[in-house]
Amino acid sequence: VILGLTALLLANAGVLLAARAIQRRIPSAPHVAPAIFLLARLGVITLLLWAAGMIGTLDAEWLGAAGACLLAVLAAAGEHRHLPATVRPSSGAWVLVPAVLVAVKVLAQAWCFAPYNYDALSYHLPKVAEWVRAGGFTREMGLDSHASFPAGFELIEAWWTVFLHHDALIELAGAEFLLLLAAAAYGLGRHLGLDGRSAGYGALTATLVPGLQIQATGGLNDLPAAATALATLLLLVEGAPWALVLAACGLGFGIKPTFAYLIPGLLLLVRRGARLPRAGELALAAAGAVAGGFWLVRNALWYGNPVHPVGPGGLSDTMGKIQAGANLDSLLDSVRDLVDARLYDAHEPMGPLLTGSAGWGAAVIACGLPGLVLAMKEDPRVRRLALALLLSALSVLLFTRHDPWNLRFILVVPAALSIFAARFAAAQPAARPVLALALAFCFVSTLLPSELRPASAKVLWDQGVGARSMAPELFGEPPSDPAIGIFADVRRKTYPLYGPGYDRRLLYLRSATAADLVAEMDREGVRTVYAFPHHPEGKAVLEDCVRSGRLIPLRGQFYRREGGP
Amino acid sequence: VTKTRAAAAVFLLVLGLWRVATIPVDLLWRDAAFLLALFGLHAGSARNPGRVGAALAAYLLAIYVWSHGPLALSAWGLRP
Repeated sequence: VILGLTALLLANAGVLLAARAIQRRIPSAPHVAPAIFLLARLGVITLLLWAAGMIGTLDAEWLGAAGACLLAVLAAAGEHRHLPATVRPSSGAWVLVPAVLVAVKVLAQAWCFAPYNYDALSYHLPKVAEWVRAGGFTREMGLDSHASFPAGFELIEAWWTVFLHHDALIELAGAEFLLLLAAAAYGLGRHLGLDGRSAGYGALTATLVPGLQIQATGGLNDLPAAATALATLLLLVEGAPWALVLAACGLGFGIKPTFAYLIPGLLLLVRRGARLPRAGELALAAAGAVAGGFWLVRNALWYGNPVHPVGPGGLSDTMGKIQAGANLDSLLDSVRDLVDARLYDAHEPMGPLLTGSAGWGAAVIACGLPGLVLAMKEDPRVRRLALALLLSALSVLLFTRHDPWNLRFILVVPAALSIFAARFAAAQPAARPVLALALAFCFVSTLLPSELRPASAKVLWDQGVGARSMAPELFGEPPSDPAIGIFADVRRKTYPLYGPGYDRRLLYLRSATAADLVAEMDREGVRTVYAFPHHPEGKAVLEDCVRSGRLIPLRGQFYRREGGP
Repeated sequence: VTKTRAAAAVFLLVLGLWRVATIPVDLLWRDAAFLLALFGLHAGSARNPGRVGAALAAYLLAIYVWSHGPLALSAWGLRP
């Protein structure tokens, strides 16, 4: 633990200094600098982990050493002399106090929750577990067909797990992006003429948009994508260097490919940007290309299709459905659903998947939407920004399938509307108590996600940080075997079986017959299998194993291999 | 009347007609209230923006809390 903590501190110090070195070389207004700094930090981490994953040095020792080297080189070059002596927020105590409350809430949730979300446990996090266990990128990423999607956010999650070889801090990855969201909203507010305090309220409102707030510790990549999109919007309206915009787009695309659908709106905001030295422009553009393009190249090499598993006709398998290309019905159904129902979040308590909900929240609806109408009347820049957001949102909804979850992909819209909520309250003092009440409601309604009932949260709390895991809730107490086989044909939440310290090996079984299944278990020396097929073919394989006595039911969905070598 | 304002008015008119034609009846009150809120805000902002704006924001907040509040309580195992 001490070695891991030391490596974690060294690596973070090195990355922070590198991010500062990059940020101070990019000409920008003071209110844009925090967003550039945070983007640079996430970019450096992405590149560092990409390199470590590729060459098989994804472990605490190597990354700690890399961080120490980075720190030493930058310090020798005198970069530490350019650190700001003090950071004086210009927002004032009325913003700082609630901001500290939000920060404490997010950190407490990160500490108290183990990964719990359905999608995270089934296909986002198993690949993180495989990487951390192997010390590098692995071809094995789990049974889910979605496992091969771009994994830029999973890299940041790996950053917070690899040093301690434990997932206790994994939710800090989402918290980092919440910080980026706040910095981008603050910068956008200042760009639109708000003073420091009002821009601070805009940032606070953005972090409390329920769909974004709940995802800060939910393990999904929609908040990271929205935060990166808002930062890209800020860079565009501020005329940042084109290479930096490209790098931000690469980062966003690497996090979630639906980021690409935002581009039509972003193009409306393009203006002549500042220039950098040619080497700097090339380095930033290359970083963006790696962050966004690596996953496409990897998939092209491994599967012969850069967007595997999505084909020309989209994807429709046992793990889910994805639309390929534009579909006007999807757009109309999604818009109708948004305004008829989901805007009011009346389907279920707030959770990271936002099932049947928009997740925009009380502050955006009560103050953000009216604030936008007023601001559009007064400021042509707002009209242009609103048009860009509308175009981006429509584009996303046109290219994504209408289902109960697709409004997660346009969370950048409420994030931007938060700025107009703050502007509304700044211009109309009588609306301030309304905004305060709305923010308090957002705060309280996102304390506990819908997927964690109070009893489950208590179980997690009682486990203590070292053993915190959803495994007992999902499986009862798992068998103590050092390796467990996984046999499933639909999405299953397998990640907790690795254990919070990634001590257990999971063997993903893709066998089509009972004989193949037990043969593979025997070959790999695995005696216990978590078998939970859903479709007739998979059920037949399991039944054959049980009927022939080759697998004996243990409890729940666990089975023990009997006989064999 | 500028071209921009005329275009905005036509856009809102078309949007309003589309909504009236397609919206389920039980949702009409909410949309009508929302549109009224926006138009009231638009009209009121020239005269007494503070009170009109705050009243409409409070109304919208009430609609949202009415819709989502019971669910927020249910997350804690509470029934309103």
